[in-house]
Amino acid sequence: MQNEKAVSLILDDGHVFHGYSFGFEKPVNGEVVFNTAMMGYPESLTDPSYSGQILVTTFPLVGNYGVPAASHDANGLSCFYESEKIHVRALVVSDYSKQYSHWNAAKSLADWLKEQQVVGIEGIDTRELTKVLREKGSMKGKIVFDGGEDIEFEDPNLVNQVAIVSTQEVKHFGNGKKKVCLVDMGVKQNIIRCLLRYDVNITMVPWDYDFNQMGEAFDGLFISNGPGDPNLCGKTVEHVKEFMKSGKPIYGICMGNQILSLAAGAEVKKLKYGHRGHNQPVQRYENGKPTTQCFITSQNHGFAVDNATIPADWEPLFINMNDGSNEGIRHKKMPWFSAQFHPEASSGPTDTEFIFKEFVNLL
Amino acid sequence: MAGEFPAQTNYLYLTYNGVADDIDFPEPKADDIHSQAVIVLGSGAYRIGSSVEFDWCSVNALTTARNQGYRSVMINYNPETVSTDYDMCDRLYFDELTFERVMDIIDLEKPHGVILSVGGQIPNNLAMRLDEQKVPILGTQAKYIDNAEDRQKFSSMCDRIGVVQPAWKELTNMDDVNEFIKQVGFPVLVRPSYVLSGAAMNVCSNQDELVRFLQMAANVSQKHPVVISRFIEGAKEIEMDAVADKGEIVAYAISEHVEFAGVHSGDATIQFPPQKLYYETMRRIKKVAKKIAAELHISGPFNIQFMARENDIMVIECNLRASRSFPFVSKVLKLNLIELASKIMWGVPYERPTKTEFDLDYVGIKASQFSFSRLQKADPVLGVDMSSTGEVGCLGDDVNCAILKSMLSVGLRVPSKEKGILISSGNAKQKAQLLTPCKQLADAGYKLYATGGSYRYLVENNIPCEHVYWPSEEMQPQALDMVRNKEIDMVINIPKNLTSGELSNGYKIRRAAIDFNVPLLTNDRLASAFINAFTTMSLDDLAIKAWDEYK
Repeated sequence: MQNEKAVSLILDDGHVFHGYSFGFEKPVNGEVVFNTAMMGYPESLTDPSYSGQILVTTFPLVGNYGVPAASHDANGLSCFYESEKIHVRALVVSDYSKQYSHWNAAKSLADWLKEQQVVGIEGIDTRELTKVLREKGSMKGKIVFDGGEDIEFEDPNLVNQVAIVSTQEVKHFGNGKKKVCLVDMGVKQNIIRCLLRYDVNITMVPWDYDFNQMGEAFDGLFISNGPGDPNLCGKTVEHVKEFMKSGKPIYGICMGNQILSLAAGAEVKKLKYGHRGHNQPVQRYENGKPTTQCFITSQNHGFAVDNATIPADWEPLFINMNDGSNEGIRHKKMPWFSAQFHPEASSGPTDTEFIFKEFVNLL
Repeated sequence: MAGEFPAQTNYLYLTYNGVADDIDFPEPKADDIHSQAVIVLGSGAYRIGSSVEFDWCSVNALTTARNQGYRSVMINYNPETVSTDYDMCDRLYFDELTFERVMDIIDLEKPHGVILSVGGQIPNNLAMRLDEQKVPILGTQAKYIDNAEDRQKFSSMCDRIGVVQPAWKELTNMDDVNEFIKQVGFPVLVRPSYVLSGAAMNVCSNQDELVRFLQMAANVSQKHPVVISRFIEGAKEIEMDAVADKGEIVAYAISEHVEFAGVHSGDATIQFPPQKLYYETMRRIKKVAKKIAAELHISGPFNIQFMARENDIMVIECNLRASRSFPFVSKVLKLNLIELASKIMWGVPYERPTKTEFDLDYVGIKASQFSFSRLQKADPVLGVDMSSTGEVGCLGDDVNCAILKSMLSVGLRVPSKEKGILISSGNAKQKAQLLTPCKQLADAGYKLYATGGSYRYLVENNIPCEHVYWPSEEMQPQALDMVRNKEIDMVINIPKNLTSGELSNGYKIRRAAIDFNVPLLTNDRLASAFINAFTTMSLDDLAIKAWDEYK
């Protein structure tokens, strides 16, 4: 550890945590958020929804199973990552495991971070850091190398992160019968993998692309997850509103839930410290009443739909059992619904994967 | 780990990267007992030899601390214990019982005192190192604990105060081993000196076995000496659990093993109060215990194991801590020895118990539960290594009633008269021991089957029985087939001695009994007790009574 450079993680409220670098060496800023999952760092780091963020894992030991190789399947999708690169700005852990062992590991986490030019620091009291974030909310932070160059704080939620991570061009996947238009707000590749298990063909479009003008008769619209503040994605909201006129099925995950809610007329607000982890409990609602169905879900979001602003034609579909926040909405008559959590998991529990089937069955 | 919401429960642990504590550590005040902590060290992981009995002791020490007004603090890392329920104490450290971690917690809590004597051997072993750090140890002081733990020191103390031990020696080469055995004779108990509490011990009956065991388990060398002690056959084993205050015994419980010495005390069937000890033996045991308690300045719980033949008694070992029989004797005696010991360790006033085991009008039996059916191919025979995985404690109006209840509780059953009982009964002494029980069985209408020597012995003594054959004999009927065909409802197989040849002869039959769920008895003394119980009383005679109905 002593060979590694000493670094400081400085929070906007003045807290300073000292640790050591094990990744790429450069000063970095972003929004500091914590994730309570016990594993899944290759998936989390490549999840585009973390764009602009400094990720803290509350689980103390990270890196012990290395990182899988960057391989691709027949559809051109990454086999083990959720996108083609690491999206977090920095990874903060308590104890980085220099040794790794796993049948699928190709390299160490440290080597991967260096290769991708992403900062990784260890030796941080992540328990105390998490308590600060929990009490005061997610906040701006920066990592500077002791004796090195300083950097300004920056709030990534003021920048349209979706525009940074969304695809630049239209892409096609699969050759099934049902035509799905997938709006890439920063899609996790497992969403595409999950959809391709059914008889569909997918047209993936950039976030601001007007899919209504493509001259194609899509059977349904799927709005993906993505990073940052949905209120900066007005263009997508307008396109979804337009698509609603067709009356065809619409489904949204995470950012997709928020976009659908904005299109419905609800409001989306920032949560104090968000939901990031593998064991977020949600309860299914029917006709405004809780059902006996509860699910343990994988989540990663900092914004949430305000339940109080959901219009009369719509109703909550899922509610978070920890804090009562919205986890999905549904139109009372039309086949339009969404989930704030991640039915595609990756990483995390796969208990809600049936939602993809529910969507495809509507097409 | 921290999460989305604050932890409400009191599971505390230490970590290396921490920069802040979750809880406060107020400075203890000399005049305020509520600000002073008493730390109790638990027993760690459950394993054969250290289990729930130490949990009971820890919990009672904690409860006594609380009742006295102290802040009770527990260190233990075993989630299956009651002592690690967060509401059993004021603070629970769910952390290692290592010197480093315990010292960290002591630095934070600045305790009034630390209790090492209720959690078994792990805390006991920390005594010297904690004492070097000037940790306030409550109860018997570390140097005396060391005097009891260190074989050489304990032995020379015994010599000094005139207490007899079985002859033993720590040896570093084969010549010395042979020389020592020439003096004491076979059988001998052999154990590598770096091993604690019975693991890898063996009884060797002749030169061949000795050589084989030493080569297999313990290469004798300067670095790895072996301890060899005389093994006394046919001796009674007696336990004394007691509490002393500054070297003076305040309360005690003497209990007697049903089996002769050679069965680990954790596997043995224990009767309390003792049923067949000479009064003279009891008195001598008390005298010896008094001397040891005074010499070691014992304050708190302790346990001494004795061996007795005729009226000669010898000390096997002495532990200055609660032993595994403390909960049992406390329950039977209806006197919480740990509560008493805790009060003594804190120096608070206590009431001197007036009741002794001689006042009891009922009998308690502690019997061991084994898991041989789950240990495929293991030989279900008892030896000096402990192998039981659980135990039961039963009360009865007399010893038969208590034995019967306890044997039924550990999975034996009263055999059906429709089926037979298979007997192969070991050496001459053991055969003689089993003669009366066999007669009882025959008189009760059981059909007996016996192998070679046992068959002849029973017939000579006019007990009707049928000859069956060993697997190695090519004759019919085969004992093994009868067990497999469920024609046998109880197997009594007593290995003559613990030589490997003798063990493998009966192995197939013992193993078949276990594999086909036929009750198996491998100890002549226990078999006698059980047979006497079920032939003199029926199951209908067993009274179902609550603990507090025994007065």
